[in-house]
Parts: sequence; structure tokens; C-alpha cells
Amino acid sequence: MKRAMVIGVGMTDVVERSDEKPFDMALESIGQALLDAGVGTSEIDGIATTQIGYMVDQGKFLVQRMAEYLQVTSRCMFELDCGGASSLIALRRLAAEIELGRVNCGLVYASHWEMNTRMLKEQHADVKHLVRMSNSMYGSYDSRYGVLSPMAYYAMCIQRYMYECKVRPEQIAALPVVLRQNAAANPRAMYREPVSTEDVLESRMLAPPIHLLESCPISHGAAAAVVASEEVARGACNRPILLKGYGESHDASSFLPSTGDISRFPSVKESADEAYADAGISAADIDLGEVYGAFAGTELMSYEELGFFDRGEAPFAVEEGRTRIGGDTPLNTSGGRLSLGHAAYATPLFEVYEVVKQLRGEAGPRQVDGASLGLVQAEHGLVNGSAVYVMEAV
Amino acid sequence: MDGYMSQPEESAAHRFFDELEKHRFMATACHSCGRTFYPPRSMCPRCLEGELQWVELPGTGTLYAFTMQHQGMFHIKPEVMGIVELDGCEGRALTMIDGEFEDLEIGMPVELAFFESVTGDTLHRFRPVT
Repeated sequence: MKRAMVIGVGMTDVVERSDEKPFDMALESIGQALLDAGVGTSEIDGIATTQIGYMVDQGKFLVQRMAEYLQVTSRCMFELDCGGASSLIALRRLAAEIELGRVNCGLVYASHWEMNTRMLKEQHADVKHLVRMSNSMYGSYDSRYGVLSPMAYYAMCIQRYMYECKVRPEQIAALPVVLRQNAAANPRAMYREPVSTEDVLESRMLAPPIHLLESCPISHGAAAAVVASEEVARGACNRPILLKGYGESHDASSFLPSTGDISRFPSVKESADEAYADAGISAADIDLGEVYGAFAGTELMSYEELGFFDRGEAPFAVEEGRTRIGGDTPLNTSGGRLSLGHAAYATPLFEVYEVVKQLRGEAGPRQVDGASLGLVQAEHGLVNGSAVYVMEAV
Repeated sequence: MDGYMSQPEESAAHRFFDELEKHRFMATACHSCGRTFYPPRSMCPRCLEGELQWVELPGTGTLYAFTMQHQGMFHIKPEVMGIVELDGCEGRALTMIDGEFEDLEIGMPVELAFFESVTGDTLHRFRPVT
């Protein structure tokens, strides 16, 4: 089987609200990724994208229109939807075509443009319309209870985790402080001002136990990656990054599971274990990782499911500085979802961007010394499913 | 009720909310595997049995987790939300909790109550057993 490598990455700034159209944001990131790879549109023979947002009218034939615009002729074309994990899974499906030898050079991109709760309420003054919107996301039984975002679900996951593992609020609040320090050195990041543990604990309570500064924002942004066969990668401008191992796992649930423990994320553990085995490594071999983590509490829980720390130990590891740049397990060096920003469909490709830059040694002040093995993890729903890529500088 | 349903949802949800209007809190039982599950379904996921029996639940349970929503759509501030592990079936319900957030504890016994939402529909909520 052939090997697939990432040879180019691009991303826009991550912003609260872009004046640009999703299509234009996508073009910006695609242009960067192609230049970074040193390939032209005529060399692309596979193209993939995701939807644009969860609560927006996004139209159809997104990828076909982009291919027409870029004048790409391809042997593989798809739009993939699996919630927040979509663009990482799309990268995998393209890489699989390359490994099979059908495609030589693939382009995957995602542009995310979302409505926040205030915008939704303005657009849907009638509560019945809001319930219908919520219905299509969260199902009939939950939507009537005013679920407009997964915030309440996540709050209860974190409450159970804190209850079962005896985690203190100031331990959760220590994570956003580290992520801000990382983001301070990332010009793409949405929030770069330092915060203290006290700032986090004194910030507005959104849904207890989640404080404002422990929550991701709803952001706009786009990202793209070029993935190629080894033959094409030899001619690339920059050091190719091997897609070394992959894992993917989905629980039989959508948002709130009707049975089972909501303080555990089995799909994260399963996908990580599969990816480590596929790459022939263990969690301890990873030099840095980008973890999806939409809320501080669930990010800590994912650190544990990924095998970096034992159950209940991630809050202590973060307090001890082990996940900082310079620590033994640097995680979310980009600033993560909390400080880089979170544009869900594009987020996995933001993560790929960070890990590729780190493995090439191009992360500037955020650089993890000697990084050669990196991890990217993405999830969907209430962490109902997860995908993990292990990447290596070759 | 039809105005609330998006197309892909199953008919069991329609019946569930219709039963709530009559103050009946229902689950479905499969005579083939003997399981009763909430929320109600039109087909048993284990034995694919399509003839399920509707049964009324006792309306008691245990508070599994809870939070408050400040941006809920019903503009009741704050809305106390919870997950209740239900007696008499497999499964648990996302619901509203009729109680002060500060007074709630994981594991406390709760019981069913009904209320009329701002949309005029009857919904379930649970309150601590006093």
C-alpha cells in the first residue's frame, strides 16, 4: 500500500464573525495550502469538503461549485458530514484513495460560518421555529426543553466527571490559563490576552459548572490541506508529513446517550488505541497533540481517554505544567478551541495545520523542540464519535 | 403538535407528546426481549420487533446530573435542566427540574410533574421528593 503525506496547509485567522463569505474564506485557505505545497490546481485529482455550519442554510453542491471555480478535474469528489469530526474524516477518506493508488494529490477544505444563539433568536422570533431548528440537531425528545446548543449536555458531563473523580473547580480553571499562554504566540488565534485562574473562576457562569472562559467561542474561519502520494510529495516545497496511523470510533448514540456513563468518552479511547496500533507506537511516544476539546472540562477528560494521563489525573498534570510548551506532554499548542477559537467544520484542519507546522519546525515561538510525532483528535456531537491521526515528520 | 416535528423524526415521538397532554408519561416495551425503554421507539433495536407495547412509567427516578441554562429558548431564567434515571425502564430523560439549583444533589430521588410550556404544550418535569 502507498503512503499518504500532508504537503501543504492553509488557514484563515479564526474570528468571532467574518465579514467575508464562507466561499471567500475557503478560497483564502485553499490558496495558502496550494502555495505551501507548491502544487497547482491542475495537479489536484481529488477534492473534498464539509458542510458550512449547523444552523445555517448552506445550499447544495458545495464541492462541485468549488471544483468548477478552481477548474479542478478529479477522480474523487465528495462532501462529508459527520459533525465536528467531518474535515478530519474527509482527510482520511482522501488519504485512503491515495493509499489505494487511485488519487495522487487531494485537496480537503472546510469553511465554517455559524449563527450564535442571539442571532438564532433574532431570526426565529417564533419559538416554534426554534424548536424545529433544535429538533433537527437534538431530536424530538430533547429539543422541546430549550436545547439550542450542546452546552447543557456538556455541563452535565463535566459535573459527573468532577463528581466521580473529585476534581475541584480551580483545577478545571487552570486549563484555559495554559491555552491562553499558547495562543499569545499564535497570530491566528482569536483570544491572546493572558488570563489567570481567578479570571476564569470569576467569569460569567454559562451553565454550571462551565464558566465563560471555560467554553469555546462560536467562530468563523476556514482551513485547507493538500495530501499527496509519496511520489508527488518528493517534489513538494516543504518537508512532507506522513499520515502514519489512523483510528476512528463511534458510539451508538447522538448527543445524550440513553444509557452508559456520560463522564467517559469510549470513542476517544477506541480511536486513539487504533491509531497508536496502526502507527506502531504508544501514547507516550507522542511529542505533541491537538485535542478537539470544546470545553475545559471535556478537554481534560479527552486527555485521559487519549492515554496521556490516567483517569482523574489530567487536572493535576495541567496544574503541574506538564501540558505546556516545554512540558513533557504539550497539548493544544495552538491555543486549542478555547483560545484559538472554534469553527467546528474547519477545526480539525486547524489542528492539522498546527501539528504540520510543529513537525516541520515552523511553529516559531510555539515550537516544541524536537517534535517528530504529532496527534490530531476530532470529535462530533457530545463526543459521541472520534477520529485520531498520528502524523510524523519524514 | 405536528408543527414541531422535523421530517425525519419517528411517529413514536408524536404519540409520546400526545400522551403527555393527557398527563401520561410513557415508555415502550418489547414482548420479545422483555425490555422497556425510554424514550419510546417504534421498533426494538435489539430484536427488531415492530409491535411494541406502550406502558405508563411510575414517574419516579434518580437525579443523575443537572445544570442551568441561561440562554434557553423559553426565556425562563434560569432554566434548571437535569437528566433523570427513570424507574421501571432502561434509559433516562432530559427534563426540566422544578427546584432551586442550590438545593439539588446528584442521586436525590425525584418525581414526575407536568407543566404547560410557553408554547401551550404539556411537558414533563421532575421535582425533588419531599
